[in-house]
Amino acid sequence: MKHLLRASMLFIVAAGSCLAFAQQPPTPEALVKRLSDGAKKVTYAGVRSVTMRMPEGRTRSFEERILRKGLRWVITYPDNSPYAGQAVYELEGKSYNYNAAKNEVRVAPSRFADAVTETIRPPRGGGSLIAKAGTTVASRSTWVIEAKDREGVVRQRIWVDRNEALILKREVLDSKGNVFAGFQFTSIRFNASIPKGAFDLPRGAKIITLDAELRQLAKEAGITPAILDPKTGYTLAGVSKMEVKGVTILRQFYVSETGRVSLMQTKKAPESMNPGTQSRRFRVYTWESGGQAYALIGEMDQKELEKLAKRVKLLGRD
Amino acid sequence: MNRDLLNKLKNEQALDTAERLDLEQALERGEASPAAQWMSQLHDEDPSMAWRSQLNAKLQEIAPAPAKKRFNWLGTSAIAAAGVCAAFVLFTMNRPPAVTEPQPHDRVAGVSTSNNDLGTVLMTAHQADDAQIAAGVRAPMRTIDVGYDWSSLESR
Repeated sequence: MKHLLRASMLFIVAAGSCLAFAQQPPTPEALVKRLSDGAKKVTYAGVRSVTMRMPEGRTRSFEERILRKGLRWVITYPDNSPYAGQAVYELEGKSYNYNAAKNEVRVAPSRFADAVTETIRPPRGGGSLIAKAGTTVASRSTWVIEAKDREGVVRQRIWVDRNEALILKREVLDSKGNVFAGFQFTSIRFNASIPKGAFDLPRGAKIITLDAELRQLAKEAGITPAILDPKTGYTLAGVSKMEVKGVTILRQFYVSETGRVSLMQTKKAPESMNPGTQSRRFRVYTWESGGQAYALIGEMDQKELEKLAKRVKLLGRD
Repeated sequence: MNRDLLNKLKNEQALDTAERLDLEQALERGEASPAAQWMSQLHDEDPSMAWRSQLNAKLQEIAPAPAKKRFNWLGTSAIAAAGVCAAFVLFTMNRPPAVTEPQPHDRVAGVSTSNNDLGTVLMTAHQADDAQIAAGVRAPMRTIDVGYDWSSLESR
């Protein structure tokens, strides 16, 4: 009886040790590699909730329905969504936003490519990645990777499925820990049967390129559009306009392998385009030329911004 | 010599050292010199108390009144200014540090952005785009866009 009790105790201790060892999270690098390697193979049908802080400071939340097979995606929206009737296709490094009501497709570089293949890395300027056990997301067990900056502030978190190469939840945070943008799957079915033709773009829709959209928005705003020289390695990823204090600002967002910058342009700035308080991460470079005011914003030092600013030229002029 | 001394005494002239010595010796010796006799005849009158009180009263009348402590505008202003400066310095030192990350809470489009300077709004716009790219999310254009910003009504 005594031996049996001793053997039972030993078994419990051994089993507990094995369980504890099994629960040790992989290294962040191993998880990132698993995600990157598996990105081309993962297939699912899922519903996720998206949250993002809009440029004006408001937070917007909405639901997306995703069908994905490897690097091909199609996102649609529920009938009660403000985006009902639209679809976003992510195909071969490009993003196609189809609007059924207007029968048009807006084409831009893929917004998801970096997020899918590069997943997460230490913040620019140095930092660290930490992996640990995460909460359950969409009824699935997860590992969490946190990206901390040099000051130890968490700038991003991803919840990685323990068995599939997929991020189930993601949060991009500001310096106060508030979510700037993110998503969370609420339900997911891996290896779902994807309907044939799910990734086929609607035929007959009017194609609107970013270049055309930039010209159109600039014309509406009465601005002579300028662009960042493509030879810098920066690609235009988005264009829009916004009204601030009665002044129209033309916004362009550029991405490259080394960074992301915004080019803001207006006919005449009512006040300095430099913020009253400096951000710890982002810098602003402003200048005026030809009766127009410009601001270049990015996560880089002032000299680098100034160098890029010299590569801004009026559209159509080499 | 003695006559000279007497004349000097009568005329209330200043005596030199030798003359003062002669006079003192003569007085001590009780000599009947004209100078000593003239000195002994001098009446050493003690001033009466009435005279003293009159003198005191006159002195009080003519004595300048003690200066009243006048309000010193210059000094007071300097002290007050120093106090205000000290309070301002304390307030500034104890104030929470400036917000590094812009936190706008007003809409941009078509409404007042009094709480945000233009630069802050532009910075936030960039941060929003940057975060969306990092998170791999995007907000499509609203399906039916009639060109009116409804958010001003939605917020009420």
